[in-house]
Amino acid sequence: MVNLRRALLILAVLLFAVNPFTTRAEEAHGHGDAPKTEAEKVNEHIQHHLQDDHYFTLFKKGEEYVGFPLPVILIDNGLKVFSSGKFHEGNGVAEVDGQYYVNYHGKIYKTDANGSLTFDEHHHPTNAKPWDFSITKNVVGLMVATLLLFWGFTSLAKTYKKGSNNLPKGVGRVLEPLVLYVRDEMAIPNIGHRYKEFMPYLLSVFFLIFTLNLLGLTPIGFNVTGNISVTLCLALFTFIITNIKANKDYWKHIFWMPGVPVPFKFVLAPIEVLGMFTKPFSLMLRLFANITAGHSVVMGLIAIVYLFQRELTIPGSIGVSMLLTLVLFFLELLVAFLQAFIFTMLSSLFIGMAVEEHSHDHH
Amino acid sequence: MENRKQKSKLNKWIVFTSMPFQMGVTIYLFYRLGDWLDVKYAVEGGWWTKGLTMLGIVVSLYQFIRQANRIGKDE
Repeated sequence: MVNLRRALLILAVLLFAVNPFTTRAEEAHGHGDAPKTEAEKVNEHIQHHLQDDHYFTLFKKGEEYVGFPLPVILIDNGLKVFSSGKFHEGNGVAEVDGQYYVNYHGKIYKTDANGSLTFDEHHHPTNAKPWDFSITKNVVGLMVATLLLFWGFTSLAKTYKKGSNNLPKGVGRVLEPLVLYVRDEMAIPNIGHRYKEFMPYLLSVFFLIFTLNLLGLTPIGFNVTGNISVTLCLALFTFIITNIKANKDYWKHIFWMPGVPVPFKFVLAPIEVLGMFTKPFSLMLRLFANITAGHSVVMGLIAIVYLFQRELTIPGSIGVSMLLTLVLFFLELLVAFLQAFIFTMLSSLFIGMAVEEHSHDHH
Repeated sequence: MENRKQKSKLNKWIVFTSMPFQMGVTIYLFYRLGDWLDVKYAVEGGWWTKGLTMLGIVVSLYQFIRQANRIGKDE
């Protein structure tokens, strides 16, 4: 009974918290030219966090983003390397070897000395873009994750080098069961006896996604797996590996489906080809959507501190925000693992479907 | 070997969690194709869009059933 009452109380607080939030949002939409409301500022901040950036933001002080600049690497009539801090000096135009560049919403465009941009009807700049190989925030995130994994797995490997019966120490104690988990729960059941060929890929993908998801939950502010380019690349690898390693049966089931009348074979081929692409596409979309949603909601809940000071008083808003964020944070920890698991699981399943040998009895 | 089969059965349900995405993408692609055809041939009433979106639903259902069958067959 006590539990029920407590649950109802929490529910009431939740409803109370959500309701003014929606009315505020409507208010904010009403007048366009008025100074930004708190809700709009929060929204802007979340959008800024979700996007890749040439500047590593640690936190925001007033209107100013505090952090450090990252190197910009452009290929545009030769290699051009400079610090992204140049975009924050003077009028925001960086001059390198007589060529002017401007950073507009995270994308670098060629421009003139005044930094003028021309826009099309959708308000996208039409200026030419150089090839951008910059070390952006996401690239830094990937590097950090790679180094962490490299360090973790070399220390794990060292314990095996010492002797076959050594127990892993330190971080290896966490990694070893996860490696076995990937092998015994995903690779072997889905792929079968050829599983060893695909273990390096499956392990890399699992640990990379898992580490990046966990890094995303730290206050440093990485959002690597919530970037669609990153998930696209990961899904592309699964797509390539699946199709390169696929056997004759796989292609036969796509282009000349056995066991159906001939006219249907022609109808089914395009549908199956479409399916080839939609499978990795769903991998890409799911990881991206889950992590983006997670980050937005966590940041939105933290924003309760600023948005509901009037309604809940300062300690009240902090308390509600802390409680909700804490609950969601644990959910996000689960999601971090679950998304890595699902990505690897489905990759192994797709690979398994492509390499499995059919016994043609039941067609 | 029996044990392995058992485990694989438990894990196979996960493929269903990616089905909505796949169906969505399929239907959307068919819708875009229809929309493009309607604009290109200036069809009144958008019949390409309507027809191809419906076809997209049928195709996505086919994909769903085929994958479900495939998983069922392994058991």
